[in-house]
Amino acid sequence: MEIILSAVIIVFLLIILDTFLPKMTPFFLLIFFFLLLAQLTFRMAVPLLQELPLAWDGAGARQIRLIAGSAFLFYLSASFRDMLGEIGYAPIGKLSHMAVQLLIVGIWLREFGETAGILVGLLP
Amino acid sequence: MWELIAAVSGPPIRLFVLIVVLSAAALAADFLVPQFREWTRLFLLVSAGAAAMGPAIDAVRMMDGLIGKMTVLFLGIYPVLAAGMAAAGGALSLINWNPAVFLFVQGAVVIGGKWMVPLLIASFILDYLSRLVPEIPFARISEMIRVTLLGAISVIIACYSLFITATGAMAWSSGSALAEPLKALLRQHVPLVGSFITDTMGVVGKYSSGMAPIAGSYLIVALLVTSLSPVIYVLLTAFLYKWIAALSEPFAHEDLAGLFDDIGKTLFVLCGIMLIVAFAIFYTAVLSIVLIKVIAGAG
Repeated sequence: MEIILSAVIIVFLLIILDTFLPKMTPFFLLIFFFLLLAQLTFRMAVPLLQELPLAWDGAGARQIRLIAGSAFLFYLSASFRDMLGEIGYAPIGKLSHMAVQLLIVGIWLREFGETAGILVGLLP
Repeated sequence: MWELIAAVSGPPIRLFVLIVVLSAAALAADFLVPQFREWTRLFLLVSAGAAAMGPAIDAVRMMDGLIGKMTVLFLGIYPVLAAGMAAAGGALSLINWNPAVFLFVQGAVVIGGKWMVPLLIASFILDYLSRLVPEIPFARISEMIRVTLLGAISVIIACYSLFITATGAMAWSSGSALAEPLKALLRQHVPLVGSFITDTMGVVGKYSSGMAPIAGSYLIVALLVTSLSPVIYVLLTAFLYKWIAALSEPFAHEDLAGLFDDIGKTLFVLCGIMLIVAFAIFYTAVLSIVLIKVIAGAG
């Protein structure tokens, strides 16, 4: 609820800013976007991800955490990329998105290695 | 028997729980972050694939160990067996054995270990890779490997039957009883794996009925159960894979269900190879029993 309220207030502020200082709007848009994103991350997503190990502690718990964490990272990065594209800095957004994709691949490298080890261990 | 079923079904049930949990997680991730769909599919296949291979790999390893033991057993026991049969003259008149049979039995086991099991492992890996990267499919190669192996297995089993009946180790009451299962074997092995296996088990049972007057029926039943228990293990594992594929098809990713289906098919072929080894064990044990009976003067 707080996030919706903050979003409404932020939109009001941005509309007012747009009438007085049209050139500064992207700057403030970026700041407010970061504020909202931080609120979303630290108020809602991180507690949810921390609850996850308690909710299921059986087989595949590690993979579930990995899938959830990397999906959330991907979501953050994709929304940030879209935001940067909106204000006209799409190349930078793509670069940061690429960095997060590489990060996700790095997180999963151990799983890849495990599977590849099983497959190679099969060979006589 | 129940212990065997419990031992076989334990790992696949754990695997099924894992598949359910991972599929639920992947569905949730797809629902919340739709842009992540391709990645979710890849990670699901990577993390479930490693676990999915587990029971199948156990079966292959058991097969490998069994073939190694059988090779050692043949090297150890067959010279003794052959020499004993030559020394006890009664054995020659009793079963009219052919030394080529020994060569053939060992050759079949060696072929199974050196060629069939590696080919089967290759088909496992090719199946997994073609599910992991659908753009580079190996489905036809692995299907061809399976069909080729099934053909080779049915030919070897047919030769077993020919040798055993031609040498008179087990006498058939009628000629048509021999021809019918052989024809059924050669005709049906490609489309229907299940009927192939049941037919061959029937053939083993018929041998045992021929041997019963010599060795005693309880002993034959014990031998059959002992030599066929690896086959039953692999068969149950294959059926459990098929069941997991059928049960997880509605909610799991289709590639995952297809992977289980392919593993089940490959395990059916492994079951055929296992049958060759079971034949070898059974045959060796029966020949030893005949030799001991002859030496003891009861033949």
